[in-house]
Amino acid sequence: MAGVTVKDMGLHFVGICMKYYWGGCLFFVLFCAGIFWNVLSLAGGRFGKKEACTKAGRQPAVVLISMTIVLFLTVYDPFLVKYVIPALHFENEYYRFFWILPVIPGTAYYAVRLVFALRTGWGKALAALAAAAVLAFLGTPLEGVVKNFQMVENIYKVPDDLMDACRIIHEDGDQEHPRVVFDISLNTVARQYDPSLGLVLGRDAVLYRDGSAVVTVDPESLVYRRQKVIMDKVFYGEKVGWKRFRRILKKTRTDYLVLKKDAGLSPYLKRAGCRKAGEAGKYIVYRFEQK
Amino acid sequence: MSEFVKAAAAFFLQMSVFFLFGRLLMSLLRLKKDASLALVLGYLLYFALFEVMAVPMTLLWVPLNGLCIVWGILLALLSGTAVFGMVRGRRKETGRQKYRRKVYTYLSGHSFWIIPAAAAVLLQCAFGALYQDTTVDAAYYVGMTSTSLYTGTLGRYSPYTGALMKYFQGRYVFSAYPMHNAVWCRFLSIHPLVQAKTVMCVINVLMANLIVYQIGKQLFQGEKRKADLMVCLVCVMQLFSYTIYSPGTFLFTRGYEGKALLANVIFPMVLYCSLWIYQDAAGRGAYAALFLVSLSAACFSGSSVILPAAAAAGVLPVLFLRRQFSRLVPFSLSMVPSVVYAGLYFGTQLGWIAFAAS
Repeated sequence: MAGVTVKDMGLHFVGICMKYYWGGCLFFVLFCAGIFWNVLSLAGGRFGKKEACTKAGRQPAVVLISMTIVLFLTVYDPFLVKYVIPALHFENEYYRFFWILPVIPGTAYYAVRLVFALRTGWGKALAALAAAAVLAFLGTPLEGVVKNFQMVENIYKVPDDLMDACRIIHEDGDQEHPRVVFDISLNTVARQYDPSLGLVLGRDAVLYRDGSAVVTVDPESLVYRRQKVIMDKVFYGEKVGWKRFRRILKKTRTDYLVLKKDAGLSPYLKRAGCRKAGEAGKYIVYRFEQK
Repeated sequence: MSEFVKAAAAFFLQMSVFFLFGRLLMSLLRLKKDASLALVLGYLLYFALFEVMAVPMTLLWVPLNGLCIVWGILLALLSGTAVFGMVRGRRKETGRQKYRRKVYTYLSGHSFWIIPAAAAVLLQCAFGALYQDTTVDAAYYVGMTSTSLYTGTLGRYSPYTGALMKYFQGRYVFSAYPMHNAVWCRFLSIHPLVQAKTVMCVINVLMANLIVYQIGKQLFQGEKRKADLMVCLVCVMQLFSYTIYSPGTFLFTRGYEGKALLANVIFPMVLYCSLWIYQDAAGRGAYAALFLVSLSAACFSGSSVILPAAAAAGVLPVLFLRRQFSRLVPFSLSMVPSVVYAGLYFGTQLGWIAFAAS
């Protein structure tokens, strides 16, 4: 989890990570309630109340309980985590330990047991619907999937504008591997679609300039400083002299720039030595004349 | 249109390979026939073998075509062996009898509950196929496939810029999953984005659901209708578990990434193996499955270094409860790939080991 460190959080690190991990979902609470119920039913069976202990409850669900206990005594133990995780440089990825805890299958298992406690088929069907509704109510809908579904534009799952931009670049020039500055919205998808392109702005450099704490970039390196000048101007609209910008485009051997129309950079780029090669939807493809 | 046809062909071919691998493994381990378990075990066996083949070839700078040839031969041999075994086993029964028996065996015990379960799985597959993601991590996972395919190499060029790298990235080099996509793209001339983000995405969603179904069968001691309902409820919970860290988010928005497989295939498989060992502590099948989980996890993601912790949390209490202390040996052996992988991973992360890429 970016920005959550053992150094800052100390013994609260595990708790904070778990809080961020579940967000507004209450499945973890349901899972704990199920485990508690299961432990009680097992204890009921142990102390003679046979009816409280079903065959299913007595048998494999023990694995859910034992696994939960062992995980909380080991990889979720704040004292252990405080010393081991930072030493292994695993703080950013620590949340993946929560994937081990079988909260979702465990909760579903207890819900199914409740549903099948009813005798009639209709009763079970209604109870199953009610269980699904309760689970949906206690969870948070997936953004982009359940809420505001992000539908594909084409079979390649990239913006149509990117496909047009790549076509324009290949039709315009004769370079086998043109080097391109893409708008921030296209930069990471461009080479997935067209690997013949060379990117002037590396993914990590773009993320670092955007404030990401996860990637490691040397801000003093010549490569990054050059990339930063380009990003300062074309992504963040900062003031960069056109002569300096032109010099950086030469140094980085840039051939094309694909930038948003509404960025209003056309006059500036023209002065810096770029000409319009074509339009691709919301974007303009500029060719940079190296000479 | 041709990409749609290729995508459909890639889906059916890869699913067939996973099924045949699974059948072969199950007949070797003498496990009871189960089509869904065969698919899951075949999937794990496939990626375990692929990891063993692809990682040394990557480090030795073998070209992509070299891996394609070797892997193609191995696929043909193993699939052919599986088909031969299946044909030989079925010769005694007549066609119609066999078909009726199989359909009856498969559907018995499901009753009405198989309908909502199938609907839930289809819905998830549709989400996986039709969702357009915007995550930056695809720049590596799919970019590496595209770049390797374009350059004809195995992971030697940076997926971010297209430049030849000096050293392999320690965090990723031991996970050969993007190369699996590159190999199938070379086999079928399919675009890497289609193979990774549509074909494998749907296959991965199917595998995640089959594992939930198997977990349900173990927890409910073979009661299929309860396992069916469990698949439906897990589907609802996955769709309503939004944070950027949850397995559901990874499955539906980044189902083509190794990390999504770790969360939705590997760790649920650890739970499944723990349940299997609980039910049949003396059987070899669960430990063999655990070994495949350990090896294939390395193929999917660097974060599989935490697999031994997961397996220990699942299996050790079971062995203790069952008083099967002698089974600590097969359990430890099954974790050897993960432990070796963890050593290499942390060695490269801490700068002790580096592998030249050029």
